[in-house]
Amino acid sequence: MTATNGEAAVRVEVDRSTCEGHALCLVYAPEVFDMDDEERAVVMRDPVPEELRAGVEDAAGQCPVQAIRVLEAEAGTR
Amino acid sequence: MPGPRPPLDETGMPVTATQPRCPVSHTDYRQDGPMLSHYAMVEQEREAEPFYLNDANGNPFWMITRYEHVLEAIQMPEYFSSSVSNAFSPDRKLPFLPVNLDGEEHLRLRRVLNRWFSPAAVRKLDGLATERARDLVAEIAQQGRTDVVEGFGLRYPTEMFLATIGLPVEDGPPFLEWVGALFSHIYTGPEAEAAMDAIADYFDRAISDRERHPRDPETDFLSRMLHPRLGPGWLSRDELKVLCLSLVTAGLDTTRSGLGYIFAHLAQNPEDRARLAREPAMIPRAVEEFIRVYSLLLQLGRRVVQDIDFHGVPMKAGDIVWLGIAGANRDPRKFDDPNVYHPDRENTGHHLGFGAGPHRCLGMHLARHELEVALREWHRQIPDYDVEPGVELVERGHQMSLRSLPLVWSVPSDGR
Repeated sequence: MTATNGEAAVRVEVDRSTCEGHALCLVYAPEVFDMDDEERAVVMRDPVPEELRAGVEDAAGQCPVQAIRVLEAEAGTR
Repeated sequence: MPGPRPPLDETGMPVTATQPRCPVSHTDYRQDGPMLSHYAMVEQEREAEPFYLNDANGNPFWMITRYEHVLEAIQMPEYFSSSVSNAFSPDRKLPFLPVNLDGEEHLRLRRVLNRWFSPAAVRKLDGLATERARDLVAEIAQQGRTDVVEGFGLRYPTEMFLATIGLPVEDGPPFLEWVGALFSHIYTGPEAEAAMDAIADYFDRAISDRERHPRDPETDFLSRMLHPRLGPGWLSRDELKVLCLSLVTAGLDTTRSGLGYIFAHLAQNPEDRARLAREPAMIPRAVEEFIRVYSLLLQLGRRVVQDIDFHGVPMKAGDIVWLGIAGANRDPRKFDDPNVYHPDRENTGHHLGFGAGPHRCLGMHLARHELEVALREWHRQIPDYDVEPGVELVERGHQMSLRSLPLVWSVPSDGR
């Protein structure tokens, strides 16, 4: 799918089988992530606009179990 | 000349003879020492060897000292059971719940408990958390001095814990005495046992009250735990009491200890303190880095349940293992310049301060939030302070905490 928003910069995915619910993504990008009832991260905003790119990249890097993937919006999903 | 006797295995063979490649450590980590001395001991052993057999107490245990191996083992619950969660006390009579459960038994409880300690639950308490922190700090601010680990550091997490499970924060004061007694000797000795009994009685009364007068199970923890919807026999009354006791032992001393090390660091490093006061938005990152650099748990214990050759160490079912959390969090193979507080580092979040895997800390969101709010509200009112001159800071061994942290600051003379 294509970004509906001209500013869309990145797409973000959470691997739910890897996520352990540490919730650090909520610390680094609270506008993008939340936790669901099973205490796993969910993406609230995808694609992610350019101004939130740094936060999402931080969240991916800081994730204790490396469950977050950040993809360039232009490249689409794999 | 006779050296120290090596420990014997089940067949009476000296363990060092059958495992020539695993060195023996005699270090006893349960003794008090100067602040940060335990990290130095852990560092020395970690840099010398990845694995040891430690024979300093009656029950020898394998030590895993480096980040990579600690993380691996903590994520292998099929080999490393949580039926033992502390390498120093593998024979504890009373299990902690859900700490000492494995597999589906553990998950069954966590599924119900998680919600009460989730980021959403913590957000709901934000108003109260901020208000209580502000009031408690305001009380202290005029005094010009306080002992953080005896006072604010224990009182604040105790109140927040009570609020989280729907009990009145006014019950804080008696609770504080019990919790103080419980932890000054790490659950052992007559004082600690009396305190444990008093806390058990407190929960007993609270449970009886909810049995007679159930409250809204959406907002009241005990009413929820007693709710028939969870099915008959899902948790006995005794188990519920043990669960509550476990939450107390897991959640109060740890946060107090965390605040102790953090305030000691900030008192001794004015530039870090100034940045934190100047940029409150960086407090969450600072908290995460503090949790990495000042690990309160030296170790998590585990019991081996299937024989395994763990990177050359022949571990047998029944053996006790030390997962070196504090050493892993300061492992230079994982963290650059690991002994330095550096809130902007790129992989702070990879620390094991809350553990990992299925047993990762239930209260981690609450703990983070308490630390963040406490730091923010404290520095709004008390931006500058020092450790009382002439005081030597001493830390408890076993499960680390400063024994006391007297702070002093100047109060404007018209302050009262």
